[in-house]
Amino acid sequence: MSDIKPGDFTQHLIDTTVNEGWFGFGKPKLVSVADLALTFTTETGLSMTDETLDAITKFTKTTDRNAKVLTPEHVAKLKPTFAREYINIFLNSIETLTDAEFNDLRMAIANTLGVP
Amino acid sequence: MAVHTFAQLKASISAAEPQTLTLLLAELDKMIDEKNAAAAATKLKTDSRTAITARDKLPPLPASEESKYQILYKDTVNELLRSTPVTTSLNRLIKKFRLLSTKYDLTVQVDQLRDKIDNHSRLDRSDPDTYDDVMADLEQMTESVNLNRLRVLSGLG
Repeated sequence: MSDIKPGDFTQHLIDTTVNEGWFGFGKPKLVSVADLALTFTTETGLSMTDETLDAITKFTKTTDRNAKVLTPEHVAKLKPTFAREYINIFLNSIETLTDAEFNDLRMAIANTLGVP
Repeated sequence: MAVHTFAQLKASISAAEPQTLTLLLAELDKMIDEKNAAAAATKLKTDSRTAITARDKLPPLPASEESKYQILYKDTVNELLRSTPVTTSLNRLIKKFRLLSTKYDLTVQVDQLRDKIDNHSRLDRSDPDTYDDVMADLEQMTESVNLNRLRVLSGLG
């Protein structure tokens, strides 16, 4: 995990693309689909699926996951995709858990949100 | 899709945004509801199967017993019609029938009784209770009577 504040992994994906400090003029940094996937994994510890990576690659209008073509605006538009991906990964994996593990995770999420 | 471990999933929670977690929690609760509903449906199915099996294992009713029930049924309907005043409403008729069927622990034939009531010219049809409601009440009551009889026959009553 990086040192960014918790609870903001999708925002961090955007932050990493905002500014590379080019003489203080705020030149937007371009990132690739592979960069996004790596940040997602660094932040969450989870791996994005190939299907989602393919969809994002298609969004860039290239076939190269390493091509640095995504602008901050692009990444901001993809924010809901990352959130949905997180939920899908979670739900897909949950089927392999025991009832006790399931309840433990549910409680951890509820506690994080401060709900019963 | 890659499957992640419990430890990986738990560690990821702190990195997710509240909006994402709220959506995830809703999905998990939906899963719990579906699981509970499926369990309830399975239990109902098992209970029904057990009840059907128990019913099928009951010895056939002796002819004399069957005949006894038919006579009781006939007597009940006759008693009902005989004692029903001209202005009796459907609702009151049903109440009266309930008392009689309890008295005899009777298996009634709803269709026959429905015909009787339909043909009963003395009934006051202006009763606020609708005919369908009364029929539903009657069928429910018959079900109850049948269950009582089943219990008696199976030695549970």
